[in-house]
Amino acid sequence: MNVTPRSQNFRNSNTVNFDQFPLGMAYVPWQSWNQLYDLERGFQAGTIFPELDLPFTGRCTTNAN
Amino acid sequence: MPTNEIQLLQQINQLSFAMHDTALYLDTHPMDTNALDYYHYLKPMKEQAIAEYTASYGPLTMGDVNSNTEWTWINEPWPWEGAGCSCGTMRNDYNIR
Repeated sequence: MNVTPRSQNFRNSNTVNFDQFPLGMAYVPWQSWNQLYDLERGFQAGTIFPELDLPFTGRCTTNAN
Repeated sequence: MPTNEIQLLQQINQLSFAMHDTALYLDTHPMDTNALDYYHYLKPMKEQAIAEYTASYGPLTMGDVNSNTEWTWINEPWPWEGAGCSCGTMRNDYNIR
C-alpha cells in the first residue's frame, strides 16, 4: 500500500485541509510588561505592546519596525 | 475643524486607546503594579484632555455635559451633519466604556 506521509500531503496541497494536519497542542505564552510604544505609535499600530505588533500578512507575521 | 480641536481629539484618542490596551493587559495581570502605574499615569492626562476639549468645543459624550442651564449635547453637529470626521473621529459617537 502506498502511504503518503500526512506532512507531504499538506505540503503538496494548495488548499489548507485541516484534516491532514498532525495533532498538536495550543499554547499562549504569558505576556509580561515591557517597553511600550509611545502614545502616537501605539494608536497607529493598534497595540501599545511592540511584541504584539504583528501585522497579519496571510502567511506569516512581520514586525513592521 | 480648528487645528487645536483636531490635536485634542487625537490626543484623547491616543490616550483612550492606550488606557484600553493597558486595561486588557490588567484583566489578565491584575496585580501588575507597573501596568497599574501606567494606567494611573494616563488617566488624569485623558481627563485633562477631555476637560480642555469640552471647555472649548463642547461635550464629547453626554457625560461631559457640564452646563446647568442648557443641554449642550445637542449644540454641536451630529455625525450625519458632517461633524468631525477629519481625523477619523466621529464626534458625538465617541464612547467611553
